[in-house]
Amino acid sequence: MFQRKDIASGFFLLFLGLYVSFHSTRFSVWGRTGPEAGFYPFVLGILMIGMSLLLIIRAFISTRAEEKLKSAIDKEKHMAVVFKVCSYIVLMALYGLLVQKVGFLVSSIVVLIIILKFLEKLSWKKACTIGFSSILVSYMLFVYFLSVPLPKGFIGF
Amino acid sequence: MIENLMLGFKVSFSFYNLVYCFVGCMLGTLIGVLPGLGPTATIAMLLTLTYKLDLTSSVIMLAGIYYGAQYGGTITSVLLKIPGEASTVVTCIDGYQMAQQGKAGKALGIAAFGSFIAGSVGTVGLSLLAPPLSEFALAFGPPEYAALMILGLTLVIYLGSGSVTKAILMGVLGMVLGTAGMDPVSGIERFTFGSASMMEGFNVAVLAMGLFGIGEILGMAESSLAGSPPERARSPKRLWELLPNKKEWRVSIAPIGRGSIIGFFLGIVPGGGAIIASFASYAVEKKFSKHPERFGKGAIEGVAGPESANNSAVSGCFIPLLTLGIPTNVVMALLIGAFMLHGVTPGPFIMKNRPEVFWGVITSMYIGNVILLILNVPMIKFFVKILEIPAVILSPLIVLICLIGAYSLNNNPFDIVLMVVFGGVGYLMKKFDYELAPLMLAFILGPMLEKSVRQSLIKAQGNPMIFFTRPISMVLMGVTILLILSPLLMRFVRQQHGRPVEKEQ
Repeated sequence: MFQRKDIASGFFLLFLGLYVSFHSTRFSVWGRTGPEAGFYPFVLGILMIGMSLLLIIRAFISTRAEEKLKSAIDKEKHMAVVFKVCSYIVLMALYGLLVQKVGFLVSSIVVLIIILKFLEKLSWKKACTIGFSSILVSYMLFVYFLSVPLPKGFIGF
Repeated sequence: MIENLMLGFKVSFSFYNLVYCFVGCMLGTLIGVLPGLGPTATIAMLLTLTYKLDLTSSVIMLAGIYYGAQYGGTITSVLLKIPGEASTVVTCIDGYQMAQQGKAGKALGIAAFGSFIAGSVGTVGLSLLAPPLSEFALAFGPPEYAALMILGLTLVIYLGSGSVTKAILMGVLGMVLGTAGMDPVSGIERFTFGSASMMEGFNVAVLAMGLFGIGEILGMAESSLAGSPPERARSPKRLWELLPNKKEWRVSIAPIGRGSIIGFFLGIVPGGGAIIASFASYAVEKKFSKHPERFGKGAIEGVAGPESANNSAVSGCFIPLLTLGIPTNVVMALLIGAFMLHGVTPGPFIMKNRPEVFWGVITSMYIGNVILLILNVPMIKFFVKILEIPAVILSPLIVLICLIGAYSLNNNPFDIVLMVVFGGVGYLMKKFDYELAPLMLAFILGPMLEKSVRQSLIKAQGNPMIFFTRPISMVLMGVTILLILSPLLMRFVRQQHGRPVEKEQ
């Protein structure tokens, strides 16, 4: 179990290291006065490649007999978790993209209600109370207490 | 010395700073009590908010959060065997046992008093050591800084708890992330992908909020789905017997003393901090005890020592920050972010140029410790009630604060997207067993290291021996090399003594 995870992450980091090393050779690596802009990321990239190879090799060597395949119930749970986490990520990213156009209040209300009602499965009453009070608290905190300008969007508030 | 302290107290006793100190301590205790949310994520979230505040007030508040969290974490460790903070995990062992024996009040009491004593000792140590160290640090040039940072990075990686390979990978990744943006020496843009938003590289607050804040929320989202509800709080009925009796005091006084010293010095070491301090103190107390078998069954020394250590470690942590400008753990790295937000670079010049910041922060820690002692004793019941709030109510508030916080850095929605991306990264890192701390620290130290190394080599005209010919950097490099070779040396020593060579982890 650990081993498969290590192999996967090892490969990811390996490719990242390769990318970093190659990209950094675009800048000059060594000049008259010593290392230049490309040197440092190049060395880091090489280190990353080396370490991730080490990780992968170690993971391969110490792979013990695979455990029984996960049962169907586990797979379902797994997918549910992935869906939930991805939804959070997508929602928050969307917030980022929309907040300037639509305004703070509208974006926050929409995102929070979706999270509370549909992802956390709270009742409408609970979702709305928690959602609105969170927004109120943060509005007070940011706008009144700290005078941080929050985007108004085309709605006007 | 006295004038400095007077200056400091004048600053920290101002109404605003007292309020911020109080807020920091309260907030710190609160998040210390709540499992999951820690001082790191909270400080990351509040970092952007402190932009509107004065630098001294910001640091006072953020520091208050850090050591307040040490007090708060104790409460849940003792009452529920749930460590509120990683630095109070050890307290779960004997503290909870004491609670089971009806001595919860004494455990909390000795923890609070021990923390107060240790915190005060640590702060005194800070006041005494910081000025001479600042003077010493003025002799540091680029080669010394470079050597120190190499040592620091090495220590951070070695003192981590997981696999060394993974820690090194995270350190390297952190340094790579640090290279994004304009190169400090030549001005060339690296890894900016042509985006104007990326010219300054990744913002430390965005990174921290993403990895720790959003990453934590995603973790909470997953656990609430898994159907594992947070354990219901079982507050004990009798808490008014908070004062340990004479015998218990006698037994605890030495652990408190030892814990204070251990914690203080481990706080100074990079990669150290409150967590390692508490573990080290527990191990030491068990070794020093005449009845080590009592440990694990409610030995009060097992609470007094670690709790003292984790508080004095906080003071110790501030020494490299205030004298050299080097963070020894993630919280300090975030505090550097706070300094930089205000346009101040922490380092040896802070004592000379901004003494009110330097001494104001130090003296606020005295005040904070007193506040916490007074707060903790009567407020325990309240804090336990807080635990009964399910995570679902807190998450939306945290989400909003992170989202707005990220936006308010530069009024740039790109920062929000970036933070969310890092949130995903932080979540994945936890799932794949990678530690976050080496990454954060390397992210801060990496660019500093690069700048120092390049400056040194320019000075030495390309000759790398400069790191070994100057006395201070030679010593530091020597220690680093010893540290890297130490596993091999240990094996060699064991072989010589005829013992079987232990298998590599």
